[in-house]
Amino acid sequence: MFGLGFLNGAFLAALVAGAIPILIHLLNRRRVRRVRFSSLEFLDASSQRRMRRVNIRRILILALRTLAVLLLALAFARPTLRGAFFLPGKAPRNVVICLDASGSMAADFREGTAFDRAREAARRIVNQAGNDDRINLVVFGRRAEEQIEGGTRNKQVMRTAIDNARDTAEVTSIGKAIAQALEFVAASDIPGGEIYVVSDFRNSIDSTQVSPKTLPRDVRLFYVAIGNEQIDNAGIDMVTVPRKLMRPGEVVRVKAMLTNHSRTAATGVAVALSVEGTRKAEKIVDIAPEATTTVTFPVSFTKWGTYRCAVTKNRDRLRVDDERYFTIEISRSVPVTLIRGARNAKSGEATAPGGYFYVEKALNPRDSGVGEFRVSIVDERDVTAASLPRRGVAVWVDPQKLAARRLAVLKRYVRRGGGLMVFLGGANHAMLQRRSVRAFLGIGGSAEIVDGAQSGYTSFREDHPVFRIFNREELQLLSRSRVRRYVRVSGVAPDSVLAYVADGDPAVWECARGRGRVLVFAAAPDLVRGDIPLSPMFLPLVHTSVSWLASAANEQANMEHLAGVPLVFDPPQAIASTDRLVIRDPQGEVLQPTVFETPTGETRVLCERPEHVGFYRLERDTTTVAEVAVNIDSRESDMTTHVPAGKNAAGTVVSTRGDFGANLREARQGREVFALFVFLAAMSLVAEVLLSRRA
Amino acid sequence: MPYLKKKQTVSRYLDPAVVSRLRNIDLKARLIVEGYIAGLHRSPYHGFSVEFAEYRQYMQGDSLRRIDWKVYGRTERAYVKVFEEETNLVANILLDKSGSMGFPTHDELVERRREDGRRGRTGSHAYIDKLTYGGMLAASLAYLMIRQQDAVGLALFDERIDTLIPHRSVRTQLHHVLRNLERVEPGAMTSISPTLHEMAERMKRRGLVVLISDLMDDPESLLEGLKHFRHRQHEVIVFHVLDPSEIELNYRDEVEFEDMETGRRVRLEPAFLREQYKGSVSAWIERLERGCRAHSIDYNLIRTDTPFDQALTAYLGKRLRLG
Repeated sequence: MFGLGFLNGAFLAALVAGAIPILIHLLNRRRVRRVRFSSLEFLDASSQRRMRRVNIRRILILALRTLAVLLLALAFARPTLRGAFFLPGKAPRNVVICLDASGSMAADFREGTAFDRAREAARRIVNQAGNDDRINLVVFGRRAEEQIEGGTRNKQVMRTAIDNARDTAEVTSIGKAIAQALEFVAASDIPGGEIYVVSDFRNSIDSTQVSPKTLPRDVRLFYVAIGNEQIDNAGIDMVTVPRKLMRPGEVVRVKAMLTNHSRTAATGVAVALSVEGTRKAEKIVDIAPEATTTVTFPVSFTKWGTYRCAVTKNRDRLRVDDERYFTIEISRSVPVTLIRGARNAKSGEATAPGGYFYVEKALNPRDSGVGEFRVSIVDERDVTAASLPRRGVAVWVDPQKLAARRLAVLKRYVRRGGGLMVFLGGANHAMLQRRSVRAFLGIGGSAEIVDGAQSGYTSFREDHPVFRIFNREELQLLSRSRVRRYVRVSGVAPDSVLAYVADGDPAVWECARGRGRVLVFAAAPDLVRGDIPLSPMFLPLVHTSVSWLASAANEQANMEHLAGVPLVFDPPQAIASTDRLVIRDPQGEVLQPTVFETPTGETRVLCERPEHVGFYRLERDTTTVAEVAVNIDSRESDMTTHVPAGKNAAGTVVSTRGDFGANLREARQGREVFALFVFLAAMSLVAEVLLSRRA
Repeated sequence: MPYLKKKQTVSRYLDPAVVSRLRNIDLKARLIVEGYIAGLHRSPYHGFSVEFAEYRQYMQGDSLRRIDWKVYGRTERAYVKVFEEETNLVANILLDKSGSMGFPTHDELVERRREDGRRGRTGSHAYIDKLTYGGMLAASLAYLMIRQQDAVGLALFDERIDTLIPHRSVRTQLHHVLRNLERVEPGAMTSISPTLHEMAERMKRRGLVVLISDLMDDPESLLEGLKHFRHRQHEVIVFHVLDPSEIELNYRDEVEFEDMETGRRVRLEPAFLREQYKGSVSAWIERLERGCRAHSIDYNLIRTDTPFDQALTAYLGKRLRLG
């Protein structure tokens, strides 16, 4: 939409001169002479037709004369043409500069990055603002933040704010930036204003097209396209590592996905895996134009601990997507939480030890807490998310009375990749009748307690990891143990059954839930309901079962945190105190964390806006409590530009080619078209003369 | 020279604008004729008769054959013999008094004088209407004819014959004719052709028919009427009287024209139509002239701003041919 403005609006009063030719015409028309003529024979119809043509031509001539006068009057009012309906004046207005600080703005050019250019453009905009204008800066990536609350009239303050602005690795949201700017304009006591979006207009998570209807009439929108030249870029889109508990010596497969966003093939791309800053492996790949390839790095660690890793490729113009950060955690031991259903004995009552006792002793024989398994015990009523190991196994012995919300915690734990081993032999009958419990445990039909049986284990699925380590003799030893009480279930999927009791009922079965698994034993691991704890195979069976469940969530998973997305630290231990907690970003700057409680009462630490790629550390007194890798959103690697244009665009595109200041001035005030109007006036007069001569 | 002075004084009465200011039509006719004669080198009164009238001193331009050599021998002065004419020619003047002959109207003439006065010009327009001009022309011709002993008749007509004075050659006839011409007023619609046919039927004795009209009628029927006279062995002379504005449409600015006979009105701007109009009028005139010539009829286009001598010369030329 083009608008007409005038630099010398006062001269528009001269438009009344356009009435002069009309007045002259009307005055002449009044003097019509009447003549009584001898005969009208020769002033026939053709004469009248000719007169009609003459009259039409005369009206045209009058129109051309009037037009010429009007055009001359308009010309001396110094007309300007520009992209929106707005008459510039000297009244103060709001000027909001939306500065794109997204990841793609880090694209490197000879004289600096696109962000450097954007800041320079922002300074030029500030320079052209009026002294009474209220200026503000909105720096935006995924989110948009007003830099000076309420804006400022002090240009120096604004220049400083521009200098202090830093680019981020966030994704672009131009829509949020414009919304933030409009909010500022709406809240301002000065009506209307100008919004300048200074961006490379590459991929945006929302449309850069703003509907003209949503834009107030007194607000003009300018798009300043900076550094939007075509760039060949290839980036690492994603790195996946196994989402499971990994142990020293285990081979970990790290997969990196690379995309070539350019139209030419990327050849000889060196992709390297670094662990704690040391290059461990490197591969050379070729990537076809606009194609994706995957590079896999097998790596193993001899020591337990959390390793900071990165996959890097050789640098191109956009470096921020040439490296991808992640952590690999190698566990020293398998954390096991024993959920105690039935207690050993009521107070003062001497009974035999419960099943959890034998399981605990199998996992932690010396009761030292140091070993391959790290065991903790909780009662059913104390089950919380925090009480369950982040990567490990929960062993639920003799379910009795687990509240529904605690069952939900348990379910969520399994779905997120946790392993659960359940011994049903001493289960409460009412518990087994709960459909949600049966469904969770993979029991499609009924579950009835069978007492007084004398069965043994049989029909082991020898290829399953739980029984694979045992040879035939060892399995025979296991089958000799007796089961006096167990839960007879129906509706268990036959292919999930790993062993049966002699009566033909499932004795051991397994079911997958989300990313985790549940391994169910129909019997109880105690000496009251059987004699399996006496079997020499009991300890190896518990070990292999727990180890299998700990490593069962073997899928590759992308656990990346993206820049700009609020980051929640999930510390390995519960945070007792939030004092002296700080977050240190990859550039070493200290950020204040936000501490909050989850609905389940757990404490979490939040970093509201991780802006940069790298490792964010949650520290207490220089000790790292938790560490999270933050990466760039892969959409920022796409160098396709989307500068809003066309008649549906609400804004005016300000070219950065040539003299940006002049372009900016032209966009704001329009192009002065004095010569055009004078030319049109002259043309009107020439046409008028030609028509007059013909008439 | 007193003679030349008198000649110039009398000649001015050939100007229609001057003559139109006179009231008495007798005077008008006489002044026109005498003014015309004063400009001639040979008097029309003397030349058609065989009866001697008087001697006159030879003047440059007189034929040497007419010098009386006997008198020259006696007096050594050159005199020429002057003879009085005796004739029996019958002339009937038909004057069109239709509505269109009243153009220009009195208001129009006033406007013309005012416009010329405003511009400091004179003579750029005719200041006499066609009927007045035609009447004076008819009076002059009648005067001339009576003086030449010819019999003169007069018919005034518009869509029918309004006044008919049978031809006679006595002097009182002139008075009778002039009185009727003096009273003539523009009439109704023009319908020349029936009138011509009627007159042709009425005129028993062949003679000269003088038609004075603006000929605002259908050319074909008009020529048919004239042809009727020729069929009856009459000689015909047509004076086609037109105002210069009718020929040239020399109006400025926008004009609303009203037809004098039908009352129809049309608003036009003559400047844009002039060439087309002049072309149409020329074609019309040419059509009439060609039609007259085809039937041996003398056709004379007379503009009302031209002196009367043009018409009188035409008449006399015709008279001469008739002997």
